[in-house]
Amino acid sequence: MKSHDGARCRELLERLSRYIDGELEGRERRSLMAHLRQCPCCEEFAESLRRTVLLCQQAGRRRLPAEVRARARARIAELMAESTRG
Amino acid sequence: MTRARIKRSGAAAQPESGAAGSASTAVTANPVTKSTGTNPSVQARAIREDGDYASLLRAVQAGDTQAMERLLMRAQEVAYRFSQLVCGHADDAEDAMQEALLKTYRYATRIREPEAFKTWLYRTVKNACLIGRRRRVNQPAHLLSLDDLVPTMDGRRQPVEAVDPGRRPDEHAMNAALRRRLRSALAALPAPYRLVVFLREMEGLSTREVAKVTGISEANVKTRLHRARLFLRQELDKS
Repeated sequence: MKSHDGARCRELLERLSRYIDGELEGRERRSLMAHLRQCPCCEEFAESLRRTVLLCQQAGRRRLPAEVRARARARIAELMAESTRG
Repeated sequence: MTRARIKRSGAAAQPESGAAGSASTAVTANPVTKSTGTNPSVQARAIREDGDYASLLRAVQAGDTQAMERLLMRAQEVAYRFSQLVCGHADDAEDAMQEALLKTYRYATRIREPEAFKTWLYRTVKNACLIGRRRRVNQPAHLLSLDDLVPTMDGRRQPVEAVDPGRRPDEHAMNAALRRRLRSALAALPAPYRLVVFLREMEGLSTREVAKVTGISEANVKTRLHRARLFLRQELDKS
């Protein structure tokens, strides 16, 4: 098992987002994956970062609260009615 | 209705330079699947949403009133989420929604390239929220560098530790407590980074689209996103 605090781990940290986003290819990707297999701490860190990304994605696109949606609908109705009159 | 404060005067909103002629319809998803590097559900959602904007615009321009209503609701939804998650001031949300409503209404029938609408909408909402923030006396200026905040792996500062399996950020279903933790973590993030996280992760914009909305290079978008992710991971792991 390799040491966790070496230059290889620091380099890995800078490339993790590209790895998570599927932007690493070829040898660069294989090299990083090989390191993750050998360094449990880095592997755990990568997984933790990936879960954080998922959490953010899940938090997006939530529906508006009912009362906010109702006010939004009312604004649209008034605007549309005004445009019809005008 | 006083809250709506609907005004029909004023010049039509125009797309900012660079938006109308070059916005792409293709949306890069936020792939997270370990094995393949892609997340089909996110990608499909992003493509569908982007396609909806363009098709909605075309329907609006063909005189479809229901399409206009859907577009106006969409614009207000974006403004609400932006206010809540980026600006962090719930009181500003209604003003931002109103602004998005009116500008979208004026702009929707005039836009020449429907594919440009999406980035125009996010820029418009961003500007509306920023105007609201400037009115506030105590708005904190988040201009510090995340280099000082993110964990390092050099052993001189806080080393990266293996996370406690019992405290994994998304181990449980997305519930109210978890959303509060994420919101707190987002609030602690400097605003320029929070904006990128919101646009890229939460709204599903591509790196190119985020660059257009924020006015920074795609390389800087990626850098900010990476640092923001590291920071959020650390914050969520602490709480």
